[in-house]
Amino acid sequence: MVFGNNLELSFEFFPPRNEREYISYENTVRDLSKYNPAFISFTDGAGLSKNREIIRSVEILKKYSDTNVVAHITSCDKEKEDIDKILFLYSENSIDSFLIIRGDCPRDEFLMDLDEIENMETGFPHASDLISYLSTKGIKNLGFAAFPTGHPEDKDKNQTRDIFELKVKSGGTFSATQLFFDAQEYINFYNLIKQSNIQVPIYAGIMPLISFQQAKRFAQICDINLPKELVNGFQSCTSIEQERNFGISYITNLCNELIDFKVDGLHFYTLNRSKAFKEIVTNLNSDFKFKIGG
Amino acid sequence: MNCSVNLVGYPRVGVKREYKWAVEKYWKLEIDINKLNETVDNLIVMNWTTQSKSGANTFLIGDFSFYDQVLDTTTHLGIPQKRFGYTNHLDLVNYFKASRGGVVNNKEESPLDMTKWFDTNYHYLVPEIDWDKEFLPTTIRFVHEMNLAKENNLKVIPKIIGPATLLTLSKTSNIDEEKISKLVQAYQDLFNELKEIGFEEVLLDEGSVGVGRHVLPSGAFEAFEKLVGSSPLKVNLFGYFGKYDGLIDKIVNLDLNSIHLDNCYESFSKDEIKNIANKLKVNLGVINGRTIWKSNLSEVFTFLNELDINNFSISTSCSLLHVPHSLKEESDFDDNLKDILSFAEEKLEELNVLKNAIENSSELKKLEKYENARSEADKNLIGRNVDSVREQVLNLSHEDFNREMSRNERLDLQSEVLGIPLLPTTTIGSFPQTGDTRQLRRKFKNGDLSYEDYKTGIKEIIHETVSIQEELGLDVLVHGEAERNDMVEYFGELLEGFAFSKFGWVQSYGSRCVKPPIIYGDVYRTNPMTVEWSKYAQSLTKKQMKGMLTGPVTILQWSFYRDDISKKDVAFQIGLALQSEVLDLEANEINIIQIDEPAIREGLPLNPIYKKEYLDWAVNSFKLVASKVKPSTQIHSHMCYSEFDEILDAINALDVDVLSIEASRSGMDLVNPALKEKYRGAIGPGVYDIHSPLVLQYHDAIERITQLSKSLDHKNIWINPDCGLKTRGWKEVKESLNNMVEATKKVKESL
Repeated sequence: MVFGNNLELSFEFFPPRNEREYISYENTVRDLSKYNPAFISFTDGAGLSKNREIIRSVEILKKYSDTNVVAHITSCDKEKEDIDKILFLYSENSIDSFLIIRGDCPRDEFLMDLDEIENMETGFPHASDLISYLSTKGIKNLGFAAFPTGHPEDKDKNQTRDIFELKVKSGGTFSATQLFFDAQEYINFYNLIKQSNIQVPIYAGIMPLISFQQAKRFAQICDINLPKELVNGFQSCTSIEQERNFGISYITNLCNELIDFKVDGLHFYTLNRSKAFKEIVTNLNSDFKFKIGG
Repeated sequence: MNCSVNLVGYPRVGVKREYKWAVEKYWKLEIDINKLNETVDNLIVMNWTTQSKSGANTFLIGDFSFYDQVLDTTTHLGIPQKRFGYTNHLDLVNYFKASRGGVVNNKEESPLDMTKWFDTNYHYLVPEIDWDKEFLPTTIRFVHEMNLAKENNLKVIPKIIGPATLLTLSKTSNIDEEKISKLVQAYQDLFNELKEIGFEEVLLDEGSVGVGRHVLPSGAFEAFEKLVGSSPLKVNLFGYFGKYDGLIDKIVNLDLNSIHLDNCYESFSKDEIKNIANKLKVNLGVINGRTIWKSNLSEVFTFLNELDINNFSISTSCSLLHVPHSLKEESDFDDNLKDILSFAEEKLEELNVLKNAIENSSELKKLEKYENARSEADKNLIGRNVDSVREQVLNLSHEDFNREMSRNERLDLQSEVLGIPLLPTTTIGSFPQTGDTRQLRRKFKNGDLSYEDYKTGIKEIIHETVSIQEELGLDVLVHGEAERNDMVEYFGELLEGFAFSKFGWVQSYGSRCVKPPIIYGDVYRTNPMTVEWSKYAQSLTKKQMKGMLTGPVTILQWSFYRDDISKKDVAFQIGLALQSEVLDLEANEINIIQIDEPAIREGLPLNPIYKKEYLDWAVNSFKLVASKVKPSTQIHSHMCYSEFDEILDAINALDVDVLSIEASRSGMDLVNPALKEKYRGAIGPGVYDIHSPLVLQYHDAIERITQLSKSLDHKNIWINPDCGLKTRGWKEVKESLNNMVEATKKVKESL
C-alpha cells in the first residue's frame, strides 16, 4: 500500500473559490485534521487548472496537520507541457502524490472550432495515459478513479475492470471510487477486481447526503442511478430536517456495511464541510477504529 | 488624380486567432481583464498596421469587437438590454453575460438570440432593447482606441452601426416617433461627445439601408434620415449587399459626407454611379469583400476610368470580416492557386495597386503585371477547367432532374419492396463520437496509422453502432458517421476541385470560427466516398441501412466558391458528383439514401427579385443527385424547421420520399400546418430534442407519437430524433432511443 497500513479514512476538498470560502475551508480542515486522515485530496477542474488554489489550500492545511496531500489532476484537458509546469509548481511546494481523473472533456462543441473538436484530448485522452506519463517521471503515489457502477462510456463490467487494470499497469497505486449508494455495488466491483488478481487499495468514495435535491444533483453529475430505497426514503420525508436525518442515517448504514465488508478505506467527499461527516462518524460500527488525535 | 482608399472593416480574430485564444482564456479565468485588453490592443494595432498597406491614411476605431458589433453599438449608445441591463466595455461583465448567458439577479439567463448577419455566415446578437429605461451613451471605448491610435501616430475615425440597421437587426416593432427620437437622441449625444474630443466624421454602418427598403421595418429609415439631418459629425454612409433598393433617390438628397457603393454584390451601372456622384462623394467598393479571389484589376481600372468622375475613393465592397486574414502562412497551396487567391491582407494590396494606377499612370504597368500574373495562374491552374465536367453540365436536360414515378406511387412501392413497417423508427445519421473516434481519425490524418488499420478501427465502431441499433430495435439503421469530422469537409476532401487552407478561419460568432473549404476547380468524383462504410454496415444487418450524403447546396453554401463560373454551375457539378455516389450506393444494395440539405434557405438572396431564380437551381441541383435511382430506392432528407416558411414550395419540389425535420425544440408544434398543406411526401418530425440534455421519457414519447399519428396520415409518418446524435453521450442516447422505440410499439398497437 501506498501510505502504509494505516489507511482508513481520507477527505476530499475542493480548492476555495473566494475569500469567504477560504475561511470556511480553514475551519473545516482544522476540524477534520483531528480524525488523523491517511490523506487529504484536492480536486482539480477540467479546463481550469486549480493548482495555485490547491497550493494555498495546502499551506493552510499544514498549519493543522502533517497528513499526506494528494492533488487531483485532470488529464483530458492537458498537454505534456501543461503537466510539466504543474509538476514543477507542485514539487516546489512538496506535493508529490496525485490522483488522476480524466475529467469532463470539453464538450462545448457549440463554441469550439472544428480543428479544436478534432484535436480535442490531444495530450492525455485517458487517465491511464497521464498515469503512465507521471510514472515515467518517477512519481510514486498515483491514485485514480474507480467506477463501481461502471463508467457511462463503458460497454460492460468487463470493460470497467479492464480499464481499472490498465490504470494499475500504467503505474496507478491506489484508487478512490466515484459515488455510489448501494454497498453491494462496491462489494461486487471489489470482488471482480480482486479476482483478477489486481492488488491496489480501492477506497470507497462516500458523500454525506443531506437532501434529496443534493442526491439527485450528484447522481445526475456522476451519471448514476439512485437506489429505490433511497428515493422512497427521501420521498416519504415531509421536512428538510427529516430529509437530512434520513440522508445521514442512510449513508451511515452504507458505511457500516462497507466496514463489515472490511473496505480498504473510506474517502469522504466533504464539499468543504465537516458537520455531516461528524454525525456519521459517531454512529459507525465500533470495530472500525479511527485514530482520533489532534 | 488623387484617389484615396477608405477602409470599411477588417477581420477581428487575428491571423492566428489570437482574439479567440485570449477571450476564451479570459472566460475560463485563466487571464484577467488587463491581459485580455493587452492582447486585444496589440491585435488592433497590428490590424491597423497591416491595413496601411492599402494606402489608406485613416483607420477605423470601433471596428474591433469583444464579441459582436451589434452588441457594441448598443453598448456605445448605452442602450440597456431587457434581461441583462446596461453593458459596458470596461469590465465586460454584463457584456459577456448578454453574449454567452449567465446569472442575472440570481436567475440563469440564456444569451441573447443569435442570427445570421444578412446572408453571410457571421451571426450577430439580437438586442433586446429596453425602451423604458434611459439610454446612456458613452465614448469610453472609442476614447480607448483613439488613444491607442495616438500612441501609434495614426489618424482614425469612429465606425458604428446606424439607427436603421440597429432597428432592423433588433427586430424592433412598432417604431413610433417616441422611439425614433429617443434613439436618434442617443446617437446625437454620442456624436456630440465624439466631436468634443476632436472627431469630425463618422462611418455609419447601415447595411440594411444598403440592401434596401424591403428589409427595413417601418420607421427605421426615418430614424436614419433624422440622424443624418441632425448629426454633429459628418456622416459617411456605409451601405452594402445591395443598391439601396427603393431608397437611393431619397438618400442622394441627404446631407451626407459620402456614400459607399457595393459594386460587387449587385453591380451598379456606370450611369447609376454617375448620377449618384453628381450629388455625393462616392466610395466605390470595387474589391469584393465576400470572396477570396483576386479581382481582375484591369477590368476594374477600365471601369473606373470610363466612369469619368473625379470625386471618388475606393474600397472593398463590404467589411473584410467575411474573409480570412492572410495568405502569408499558407504554404501548402499550389502556386497557381495561391496566385488567384486574395484574403483580407491581399485585398489591401489590390486596393493599393489600383490606387497607385489611378493616381499615377506610370504605375499602370504594375497593375497590368499584377493582372497578367493572375490570369496566367488562372489559366495554368490544373483542375480549374475540366472539359468532361463542363460538358456534362451543359448537356443536362429536363429529364435529368426528375424521377420516373410519382411520389405517392413510389412510397407505396418502397414500403412493399423495402419492407418498411408502419411508423418506422430511425435516426438522423450520426451517433456519439468519443475521443477514441477522433483520435483514430487524427492518427490516420497525421500518417501515424495505415489506411488498413484506420479502416479496421472505423469498422469496429460501425459494428458496435449497428449492434446497438439492432438491440434497440430500430427499423432503419445508419452506420453512425464515425469517419466524418464535418458534413461538408468530409466530402470536400474526397471530391476534386476543393482545396483546404491552413489558417483560413473566418468568424462565425464570438470566438467561434469556421474554415470553409475552397472550391477552386470543376467538381467531380474520382472514387466512391461513402460506399465502403455503408456497404460494410449493411452487411452486418438484415434491416435497411441508410446511406448518408450532404447535398450540393449545403456543400456549396458552406464553402468559398469560385467566382469565374455561376453558383448554379458549381451546384450542378456537385450534384452530378453526388449522383454517381448515389448510384454506387444503390448498386451496392443501399436502398435508402439520405441527402441532407440544411443550408438551402440560407442561400436565399437578400433581394426578393432573385429568390425564384435561386430556388429553381438550388432545387434542381438537389433533384439531380437523386433523379437516376430506381423508384423503389427511397430518398430521405433532413432539415431544420424553424426556417421553413419562406421556402415551403421549394421543399415540396425537392421531391424527396421522406423528410425528417427538427421540430421538437421548445415552443414549436410538431406539425407545421403550412407544411402539412404544402408538402406531400412522408415525414418524420423529430420526437426527441437532442439539443436538450434530458433523456426522452417514455410517456413524453407516447404523447408526441400519438399526437403525430392523429394529425398526419399515419401511413406516412416516420419516428426519429430531431437531429444527429454526434454531440451526445452514449448512455442518454441509448435510453432515449429505447423509449422512442418502445413508445412507437405501444402507439402502433392502438392504430
